[in-house]
Amino acid sequence: MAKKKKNIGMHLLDFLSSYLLCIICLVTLGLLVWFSTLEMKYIGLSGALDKYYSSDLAKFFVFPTINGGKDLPVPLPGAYWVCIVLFFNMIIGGLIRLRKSWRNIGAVISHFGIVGLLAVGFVDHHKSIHSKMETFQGNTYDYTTKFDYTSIEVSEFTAEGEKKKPYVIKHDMIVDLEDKMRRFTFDELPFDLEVRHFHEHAVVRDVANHVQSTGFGEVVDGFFLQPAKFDPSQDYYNYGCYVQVKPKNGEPSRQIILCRSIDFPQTFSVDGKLYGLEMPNEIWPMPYSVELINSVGEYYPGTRRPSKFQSTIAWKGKEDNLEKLQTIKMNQPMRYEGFTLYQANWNEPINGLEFSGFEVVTNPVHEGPEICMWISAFGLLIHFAMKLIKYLEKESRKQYMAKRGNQKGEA
Amino acid sequence: MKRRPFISKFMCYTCLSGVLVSCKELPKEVEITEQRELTQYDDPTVFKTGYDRIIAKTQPLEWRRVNGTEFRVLNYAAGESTEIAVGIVGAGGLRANFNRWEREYGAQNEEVMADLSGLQRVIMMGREAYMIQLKGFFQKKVAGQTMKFEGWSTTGVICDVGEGVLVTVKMMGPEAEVVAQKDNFMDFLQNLKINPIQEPSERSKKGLKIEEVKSGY
Repeated sequence: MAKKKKNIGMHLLDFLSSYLLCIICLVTLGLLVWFSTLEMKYIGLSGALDKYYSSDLAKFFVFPTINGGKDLPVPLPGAYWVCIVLFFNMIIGGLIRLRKSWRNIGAVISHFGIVGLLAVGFVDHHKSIHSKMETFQGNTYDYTTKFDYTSIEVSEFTAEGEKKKPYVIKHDMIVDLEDKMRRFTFDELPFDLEVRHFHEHAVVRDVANHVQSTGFGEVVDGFFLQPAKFDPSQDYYNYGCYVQVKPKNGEPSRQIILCRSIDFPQTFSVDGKLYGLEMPNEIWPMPYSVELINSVGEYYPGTRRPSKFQSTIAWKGKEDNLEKLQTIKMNQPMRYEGFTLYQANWNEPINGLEFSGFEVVTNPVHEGPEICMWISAFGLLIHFAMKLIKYLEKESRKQYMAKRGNQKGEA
Repeated sequence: MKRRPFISKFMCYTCLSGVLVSCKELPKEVEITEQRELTQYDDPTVFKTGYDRIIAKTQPLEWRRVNGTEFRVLNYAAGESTEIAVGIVGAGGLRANFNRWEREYGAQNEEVMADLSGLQRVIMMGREAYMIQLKGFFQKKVAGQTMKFEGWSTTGVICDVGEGVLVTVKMMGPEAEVVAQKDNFMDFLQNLKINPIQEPSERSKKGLKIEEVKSGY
């Protein structure tokens, strides 16, 4: 019988489920981890994460840089996309097309664990939120600021100067506005806002000491916004933009410069009330408050790089209101209502106040990697146990046959 | 073996839908309804990454708070060109700082303000402060160059808050605007207060470690 000719789809499917593709993916991932670790020294942690592990299609190909200088002429696919290919490779080759028999049960279970691990990584990449909480002794802190997520907050102030609950324009709504404009309306506020000239990294300059050149923003109340080159080693995006306040009562509109580095509201009034605009990284209210009691740390000899540090905190949940005390160390976080608080950085006291920086993370699948690893380990245990039993059986049969052969010879 | 074509179709549709979803664009007009709960972030007295040494509880409605500078702890704009700046000076004394403001109006003599007795006195932050009124050709820097502005006026107040620290509040701009904002300026002085440096709590001062805290603090 003539062999049935395969179409392109079938060839593609064969390749997608092949060992070859699996090996290519694993080797590529190994290279990406290696290059990103080396490059982290020059471009910082978030720079390396953004370059090598981004889900942005525009960053599909990565050109590793050697020693912070020249790019390698060979592009590598980003780790996110390699993991997606590996995920389908594992599903098709390692689960669907794998010959199902009791002999392969261990391999199927371990493949299932790896597929789960990749799926958990995908959910973690898109759904986990990382933020930081900077605490000084003498006050409680009940909020964090999200990493790399800016926002525009619009607040009203009472006649006594009290701030009311701010409206929040989120990162995704403004991040594409470098060359575009978007209008934001508020049902209960007497004005609309038009946001334009958004920059991921910019500095606010005063006209007294700086010359405004082409490409810089217009001057507003003695200041202008100058787009700047992001320094990856600083891990700090100084977001900035221009906002036009458009009163609904027909009063003339007013331009305002916003920038992350201006850490207080820029104020204006409409209809006899005071309002403020500011651009912090997204503020994230926590279900608990933290008071730093003590923080101790040590530097590596001859450097200003902390080698180890730990903090004692007093914290209470907003619901139970019962104060608890805990020591947070590296790899010894505090967990509460799905939020994990890690010790992230430390500095020497400022103005006599001890300081401690925490990273607060929420991840809907934070138990997932451990479960998947146990599944894989269980599968591998079964697989190798079966191989061992088979080997032992074979060996004992060999010995038995050899023994019988010897006995026959002697007879 | 009908499963294989199904899988390849499934793969194609998955990839295509992924690409299409990633291409969505927000509309040109968006209504914002989400409000955030107030937190410690909204309390200006809390020591955050930055620290406001001087706090103004409220401000005149005609003023706009704008970005600060190295020497301006609080910085406001009013009208077309009027600036209101609050600063903290740790050196020089009252006379030297008044002289510095005089020189912005062309005074050459270092000893112009040798005597403070002729100055108006006001109460600010619970202390006595001195107020000066100046007008004429005002010199200020624009793009690093000194430029002169005719018909400008300055209303400035300096308050000695102790330990050699002075708080300066200065409003400068075209004379008509400065005159129009004078009442707001005087009211604003009453809204200023020093934000005391945050102190560690009693249990922090004791340097307690978790073991001691657990055992009965």
